[in-house]
Amino acid sequence: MSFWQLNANTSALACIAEDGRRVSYTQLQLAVEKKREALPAKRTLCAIRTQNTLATLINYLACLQSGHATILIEKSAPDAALLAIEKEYRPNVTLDEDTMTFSADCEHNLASELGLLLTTSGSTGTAKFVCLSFEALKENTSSICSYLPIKSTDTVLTTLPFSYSFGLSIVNTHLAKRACIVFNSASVMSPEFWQNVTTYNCTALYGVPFTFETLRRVGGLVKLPKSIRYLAQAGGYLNKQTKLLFHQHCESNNFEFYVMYGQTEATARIAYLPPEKLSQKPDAIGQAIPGGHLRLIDEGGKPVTSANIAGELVYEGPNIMLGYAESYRDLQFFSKLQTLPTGDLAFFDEEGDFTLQGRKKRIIKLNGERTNLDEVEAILGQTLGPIKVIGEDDKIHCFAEQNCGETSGKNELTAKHIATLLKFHPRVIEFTFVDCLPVLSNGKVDYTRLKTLC
Amino acid sequence: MSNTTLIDVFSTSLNIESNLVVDTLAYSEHPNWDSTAHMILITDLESAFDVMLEPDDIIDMSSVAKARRILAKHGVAF
Repeated sequence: MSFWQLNANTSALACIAEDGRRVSYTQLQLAVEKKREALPAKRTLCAIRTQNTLATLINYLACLQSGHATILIEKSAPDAALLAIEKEYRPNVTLDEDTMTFSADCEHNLASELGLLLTTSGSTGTAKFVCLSFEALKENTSSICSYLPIKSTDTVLTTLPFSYSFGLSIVNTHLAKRACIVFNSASVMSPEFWQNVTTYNCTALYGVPFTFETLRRVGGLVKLPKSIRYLAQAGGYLNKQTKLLFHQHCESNNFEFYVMYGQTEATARIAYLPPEKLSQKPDAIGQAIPGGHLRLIDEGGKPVTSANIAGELVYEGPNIMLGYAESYRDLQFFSKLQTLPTGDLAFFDEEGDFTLQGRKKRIIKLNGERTNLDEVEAILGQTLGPIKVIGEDDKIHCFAEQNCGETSGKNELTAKHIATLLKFHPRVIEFTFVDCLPVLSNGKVDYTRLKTLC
Repeated sequence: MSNTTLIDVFSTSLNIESNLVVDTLAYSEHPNWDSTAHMILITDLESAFDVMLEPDDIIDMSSVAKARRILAKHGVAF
């Protein structure tokens, strides 16, 4: 049975709504059925504007149970992203909390296996989506449930956006286990968050590196209630020191710390490190989740068969995406991918545990948000002329040639203005004028040389 | 003096005009005062006033008025 098929006959608590309302699985299913009656009978393309609310959960389950193909987009997403969905995908129904807007102007031809569309980047507002099958959703959820100690008596707080693959996987797995989800929108640095954690006797805490760095800063270690059984981190590389600090705290308080690795392209989860290996291998991502397989290929595409030699990490498993889409035209047919090149470089040790070493693709996690540097260049290029960017996980360095472009545009070439265009905090942007942007012999930008100019 | 510094720090770390830095300005009510900006604000306040904020101060600092009260507790005179 899929996690979205709820057993209507259980008085177990499904969630605590954002207003404190307690909702059982029976009540949740009734609300979902009522919502389904309002949806078109024929399979169609829906879009849900998501928040961490009960209404979003009802909308999501109604679309899944009715078998529609559904786009999830954060309600707080930039207008450009919301407009891009309208324009490029023309959803027949848009669900926003309690409202439903219908649009009949496009008769979609949708591949039958297509279940969900998730965005690859929240900030740059492009219309590129990862297309996931119902099967992938189901498989990844049950695989995660087989290694994380989620129980039906558990209570988890939402700590990440609903439409973010990691955040969504927490919802899916807890539904699958008939556990309880507390709809929380407060961040770990607000009193409301800590009130929620204690009031509802939270049993687990999930977060991205930023969550754990902040937790550390606000004294989260001593604040964690006794009810906590495990912590789980994914969504990028967490500083080794912070990781070990949490691990030690977990060990001395008899709970577990799971470090995990994944991508939206694999629904959410790809690998995890069993907690007992963490102190010995703090940088490792472990091995593939149950049902999946990880391997390495070298630059020529040949398999890397020896330990401690780097190659590109390639994943295989039932949770791989169907493919990318940039408009509704891409939703008609998918030739299912057999393998997923992750774009990450890694090596494995003698025990078969993988450790990441860098990225092949130009993608960074800026304060936890996936940011494609090529997209950033394209956005800046539209108004500011040729700008080249490189980045780390907490900074973007932008470069432009001193004598390029028109003088009028030059005043706009400041970190502050770039930050506004990208909707980032100015502190994460650095801007440098160079005499000449370094190029390789093939005419492409020499990003390695740019790095030395920071 | 301290008040001017406080306004300057809020204005630069939240990236907002200084006339918007009033007592009632509150965390997550202004779109720029999100969790990332909050952590930058804390670091900037610590270095501008040469104080070490406690974990609970970071959580409690949910408005400009509260920031002033917390800094006063650490010996900053307003």
